[in-house]
Amino acid sequence: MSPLPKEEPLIGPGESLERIDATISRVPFFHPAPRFWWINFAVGFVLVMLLMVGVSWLFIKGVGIWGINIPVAWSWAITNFVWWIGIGHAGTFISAILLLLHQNWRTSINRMTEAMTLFAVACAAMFPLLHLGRPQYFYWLIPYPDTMRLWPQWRSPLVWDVFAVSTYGLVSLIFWYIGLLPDLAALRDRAATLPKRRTYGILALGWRGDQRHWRHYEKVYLMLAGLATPLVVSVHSVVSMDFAVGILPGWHSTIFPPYFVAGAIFSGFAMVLTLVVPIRAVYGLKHYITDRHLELMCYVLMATGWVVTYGYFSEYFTAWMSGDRFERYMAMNRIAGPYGVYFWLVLFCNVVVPQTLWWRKLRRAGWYLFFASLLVNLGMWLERFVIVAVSLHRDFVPSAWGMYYPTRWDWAILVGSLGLFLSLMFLFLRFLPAISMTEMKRMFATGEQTR
Amino acid sequence: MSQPESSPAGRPRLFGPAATSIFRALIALVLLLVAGVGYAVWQYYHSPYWNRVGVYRLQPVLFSHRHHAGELHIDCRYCHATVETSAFAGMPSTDTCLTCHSQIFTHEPMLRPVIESAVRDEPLRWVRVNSLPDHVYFNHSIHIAKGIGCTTCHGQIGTMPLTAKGEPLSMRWCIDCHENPAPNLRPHAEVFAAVWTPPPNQASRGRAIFASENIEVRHLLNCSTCHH
Amino acid sequence: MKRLPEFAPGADTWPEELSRRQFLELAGGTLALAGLAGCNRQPEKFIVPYVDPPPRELTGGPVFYATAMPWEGYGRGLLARANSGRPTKLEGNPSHPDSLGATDAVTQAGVLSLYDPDRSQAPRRGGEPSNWETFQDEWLARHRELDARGGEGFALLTEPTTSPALLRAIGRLLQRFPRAKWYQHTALFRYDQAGLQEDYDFARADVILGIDADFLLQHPAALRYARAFAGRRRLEKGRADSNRLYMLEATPTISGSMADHRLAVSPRRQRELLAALAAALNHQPLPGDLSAEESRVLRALAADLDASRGRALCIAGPQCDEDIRRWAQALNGRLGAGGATVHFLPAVRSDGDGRAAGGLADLRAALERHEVDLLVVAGSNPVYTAPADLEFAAAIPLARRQIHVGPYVDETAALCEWHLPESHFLEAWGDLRAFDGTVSIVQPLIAPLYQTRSALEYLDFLAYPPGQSGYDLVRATWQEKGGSAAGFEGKWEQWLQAGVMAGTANPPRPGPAARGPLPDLDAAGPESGLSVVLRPDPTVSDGRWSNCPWLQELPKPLSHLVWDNAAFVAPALAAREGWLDGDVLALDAGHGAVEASVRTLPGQAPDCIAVHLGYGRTAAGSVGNGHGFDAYRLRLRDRPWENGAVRIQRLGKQYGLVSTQRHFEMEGREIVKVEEVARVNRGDLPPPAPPHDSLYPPVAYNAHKWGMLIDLASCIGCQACVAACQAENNIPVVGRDQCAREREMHWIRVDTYYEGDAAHPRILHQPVPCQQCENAPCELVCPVAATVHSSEGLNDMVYNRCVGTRFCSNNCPYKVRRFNFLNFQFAEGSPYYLQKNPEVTVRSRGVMEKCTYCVQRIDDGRIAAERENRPLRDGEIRTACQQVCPAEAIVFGDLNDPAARVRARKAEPTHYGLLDDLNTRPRTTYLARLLNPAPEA
Repeated sequence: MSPLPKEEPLIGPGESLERIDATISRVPFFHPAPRFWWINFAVGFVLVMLLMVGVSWLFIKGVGIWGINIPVAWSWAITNFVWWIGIGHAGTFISAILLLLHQNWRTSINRMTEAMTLFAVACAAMFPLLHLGRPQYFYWLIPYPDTMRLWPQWRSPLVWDVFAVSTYGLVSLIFWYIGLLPDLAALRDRAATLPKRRTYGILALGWRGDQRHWRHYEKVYLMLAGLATPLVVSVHSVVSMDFAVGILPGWHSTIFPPYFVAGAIFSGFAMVLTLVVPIRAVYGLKHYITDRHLELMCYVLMATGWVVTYGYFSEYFTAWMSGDRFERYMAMNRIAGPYGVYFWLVLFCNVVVPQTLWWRKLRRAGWYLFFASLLVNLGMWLERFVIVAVSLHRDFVPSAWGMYYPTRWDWAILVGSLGLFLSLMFLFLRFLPAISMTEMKRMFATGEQTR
Repeated sequence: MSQPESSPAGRPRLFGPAATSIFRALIALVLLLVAGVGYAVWQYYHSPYWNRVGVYRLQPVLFSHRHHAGELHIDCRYCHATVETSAFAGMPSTDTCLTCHSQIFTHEPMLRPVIESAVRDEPLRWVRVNSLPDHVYFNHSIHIAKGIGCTTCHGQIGTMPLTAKGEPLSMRWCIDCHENPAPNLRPHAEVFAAVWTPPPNQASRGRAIFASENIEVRHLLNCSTCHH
Repeated sequence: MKRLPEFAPGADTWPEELSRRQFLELAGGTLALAGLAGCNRQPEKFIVPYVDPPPRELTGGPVFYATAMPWEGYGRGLLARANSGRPTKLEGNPSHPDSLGATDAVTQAGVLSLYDPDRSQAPRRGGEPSNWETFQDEWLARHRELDARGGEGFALLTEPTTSPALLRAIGRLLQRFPRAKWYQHTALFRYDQAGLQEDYDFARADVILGIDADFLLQHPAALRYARAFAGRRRLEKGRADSNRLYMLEATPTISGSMADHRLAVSPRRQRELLAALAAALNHQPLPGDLSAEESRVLRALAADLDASRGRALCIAGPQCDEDIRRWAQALNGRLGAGGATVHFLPAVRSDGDGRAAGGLADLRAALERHEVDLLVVAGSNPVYTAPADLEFAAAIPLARRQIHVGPYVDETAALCEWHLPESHFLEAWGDLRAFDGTVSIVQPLIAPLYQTRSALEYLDFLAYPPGQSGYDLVRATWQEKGGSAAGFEGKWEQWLQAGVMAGTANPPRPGPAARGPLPDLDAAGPESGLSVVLRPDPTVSDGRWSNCPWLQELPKPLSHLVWDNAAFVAPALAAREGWLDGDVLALDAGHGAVEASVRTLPGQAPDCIAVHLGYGRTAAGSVGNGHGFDAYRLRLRDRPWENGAVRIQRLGKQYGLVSTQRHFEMEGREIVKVEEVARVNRGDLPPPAPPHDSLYPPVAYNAHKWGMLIDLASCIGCQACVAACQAENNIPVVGRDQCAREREMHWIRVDTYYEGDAAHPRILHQPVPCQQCENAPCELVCPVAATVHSSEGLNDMVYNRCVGTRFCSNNCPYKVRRFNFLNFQFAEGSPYYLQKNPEVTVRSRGVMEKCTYCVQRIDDGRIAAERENRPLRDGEIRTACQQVCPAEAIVFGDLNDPAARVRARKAEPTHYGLLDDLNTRPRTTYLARLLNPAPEA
């Protein structure tokens, strides 16, 4: 099923069970390349501070510190939300769907991408809360028996969001943690000091690796994979309905769910590349995350890229086909309106850049993929901005048209969320095995790596 | 398959034999705690501590509705003069008190604040017992006109030595009646009864009044009926 | 669409308030527990009853009092609402001839100015706070000296007024001090000529020619005129007996926007066109230099005028040159308008009062001759409003002593020895006369908030210390006039009740004999190139309203500019000169240059620039200071309304003007529908489209079914509805910066669209409140049911349930929802809070709000009816915008009531719903704008 010549193995030459354990656990235990880690973590941490300030000021003054207005009442906060959620898709897609599809190459990246998913979802979940005019009453979106005899308004997709996102977050967390158990146990046994062994020990929930444990583990893991699979599709479909349910030209579109899901996986894989390329280089994991892995990821990137491209096309086709004056104006306004440049940037990043991956050389050139994936991330963020804000700024009644300009606080919170993601990611690298030792060893032991 | 990392002999145990049980107990405890907190919160918002139902409030004058309304049968409207004509029921001016108390009990220490208010021309400051949030618009006159009696919302006022809140006045409570007012509707003669218990035939009688007063329930449930 | 540097991304959102220290605190995440306040119990509240209650119970519902408000010295009759003794809203008095139940935007703001924190609150001496006693003692000494000299050197400056009591007081002062001199000054218009006022009868006029005449806004009888004019544009039962308005104007006004044929021409060009018109009327060939458009319009006009003698009317605006106005009179004479469409009334304002010693210029001269020992300035601000070449500020110190009486410590007060604070008209007794002479007693609703007195009381004090109270003075005035003291009390009560004195209206007089040929209009003087025309500002007038936040933020008709004045420039001119919106021009008339920001305005005459007075204040107050530029610097004594000798130079700078509407084309969408009267009367309109089908069963609204109709044929775009809505519904003011961020809060907006060529565009108005859709897109997307449908079809907005997702606004195709992005309410403890309507929730930060059809009024009306167990009467409930509208363009009512006027109006053939195709089924619908172009043109 994998489109590549068999001879290229998924694990580099000269590996042994012992070595796999040693190299992977070396990262949390001996903290190699400390400068690389510290610089990244420091940057992340400073940005988290900035986020703190931004959020506090937001709570003090209100959402008016952002550039939003009437007509553009949603902009960066929602853009960031959709973008982060999208990134959060790769993890579960890789660990769940690819598992069910017996794609062995997922083994060496699923741990890292699941972590990425968690942190991305954490960043995303922040925004629906922050963007509320009165965040202190967010709990009114949750059904509970109150003294007012009121319930949430179930027809609103925002209520569906609450459930979709929280479920997704929870399942991803459990999935990731269950997967970690055997490795935690391994770390417990290899750790040098007692406190470390105790900590890992507690986290390992008393895993002793006997047959019974393994039997349950396999069952649960498979079950969760099955459970997570529909979620991958459902979450972003629901998110897309935040817009599709609206009557606004540029939002009111039936293609949104598949188009959003594809976009999500697209951006997710881009982010995986952005992270994996430097990490495997710095921590010497090239034997486990091989060029072939990069190449396979590129295929996914190209495939989803094309779905997204089709999404763009169909939007403008329907706008033209419908003959609806408002739809048509919206389309033209995106292309040639005051925000036109962003539209063209989107096309470049999400349509042109992936096409370069037809070249095998580029598919395997880490440095190139790093920058290419950054571009895709940028493109996907801009795409969401175009959908959210550019549709809003000129809708039905011309007298109400307006413009949106971000403020410093918009920037602070966007950059801050990136910082949060970065610092969480590096804390994870520092203390937990970035690659699943268990599964790598199983693959090695059973010789699946060449299949 | 073999698991090379499972702890080899000779190493000291990390945890005692009880560890697992303790851990499980902890999990159970946490779950219990979560449930408990939820229940506590619910109780709090339905407790008299929160809605102050039946909590007697200290007033500048120890005024007794039981004595004035219950025993002397002074009509509510004597002091709450605008209850039939405006949103606000009206509070008695010091003069109103003095119509009687310039003659009787004038030297009761209990009444000194009233006398002083009149002498110093300083108004009395009564503590609000039944208070609605500022975003709720309640109109006494229409409730009176349609046959909702005082005690329906203010409790058995004629039995209160000091005045306390008779009902929670929560939104749920309001809506329950707006949805089905009939059980609380009375003939106009009984509206100002200081002590009132529904007669056995209240069900049928309420329905009759409901019809004769042309009460339209659907608009009673509109948000804008109470919130502008 | 291009935003100027000032508003470049995030320019000034970096908060000044946020100190470095705070910044670090925030970084520490001090706010983790924000918003837990929701869990607190209700705070302790108190009820504080009267000790002995007033005769009338005030704690109940609102109480209305009849009074009147001065408008350039004329009276506008009012019914003022008081809640628990606080004046909170001004409505028009239906029985007052110049109100007829309506008011304009400025009147609506009258109530807010009462609570202006910047009002002068105590006497000041030499700029230092003083008190009344000090002044009294000092004056008693001075009074003796004056007496001795018969008032030698006493100069009094007032604005012209119609108030009999005030004129009586001035008369008595002149008796007391025979040598004293009385001068009058107004920066605005005179509405009389040779002791006569022209009063127009729009009901009878079929053809109207306006020459720079803004008779729908800038006239004492504007409200009455608007009512009559709109009546002649209105469609009733499928027919419109419409008049036809031709307008020649230099800068667009709302009156011009109603014209069927409008030529944007500068005053100089107007003379040429009128000369051409004269030729056309005399069946001579038109001069060659006319544009195609011009000659077409003039021919049609001439034909129309000829055809409709006795039913035609020519109005020359009060700022027109003397000879143009004489020409207009002659034309009216020739058209037989006198007695038919024009009536001549005796002047009611004191402009021409024989006792007056002259105007500001005469006072200036007297000051220079050192004839003035004591100058008393009462209710006027000459230092700011004097023509530049008068340099009045320099003249004030020429008087040995000065006393200023006024509501603010303004530019003039700053130069005077004494400043005495003047009461607000809602605090003081007085009287005023309408344009037709009808008298209204001005009765106060509240005792003075501060140590203030009325000008009437001050003048009486100065002449006859210790003086009488305003109440006594007004009554004395009318006891004298009333003759018999018998039955006075009864009459007095009547006058206060009705708000007008029956039978005090002046009968028309025979007009000047203006038969004969039209006088020649020689082409105006040597001026060439660009001239600057000056106009009073449509919201802050000559500057007297500068410190009123409502009026500063009220979009100016047509331009929708807020918080500034501008140099209005025709698009053609801007293109020729290469000026962009926001470019700063230096305008210099030789009395100090001013810096004006360019604003292109379709329909502006290409050979002149229009600027509005009333800005560039330095001592207006915290609200009015420092906005815009002072156009008085461009104003000359002899030609106050146009200056041909202004040096115009473009500076490198830019200054971003803020307007609440940013796009003025309809982009070919059917937003405002336009129909031609002829076509409508022929009855060949397409039948109304059937309602869209639905898969859902229709909702039955079997009790009430509220609906509104807005008649675009009558709407004159005066913005009064916007102001009334703001006053009624506690709508906050957000300030210039927030407006620039497109966060204005008005619940109803009057959109303006320009169609056709920018030189002579067709100007369309459209008031847009919440459309109260039956299929409301906003309701569907609210996650907490904060905006829901009522059983009567209202689109209820529950502020206190709103969490502020703003999805409803995104999904509203009309964009009528407004959001409290920040805390927009006035500062805690501001006296402005006393104006708040207690029946409407004051919205907090983070909450969405919108038009509710004044649901508080609906509930009050319903309760009143249900208390009496009777059905509601049509017209019993009126929304604030409906009540204020001088043109009766807004009708509200119950669509289930067969007798309801709103139902009849919605049956008219030009009826349509905005964005009908979306099937939102709006309850607010429109009648198309009607145009009545001449068949020839």
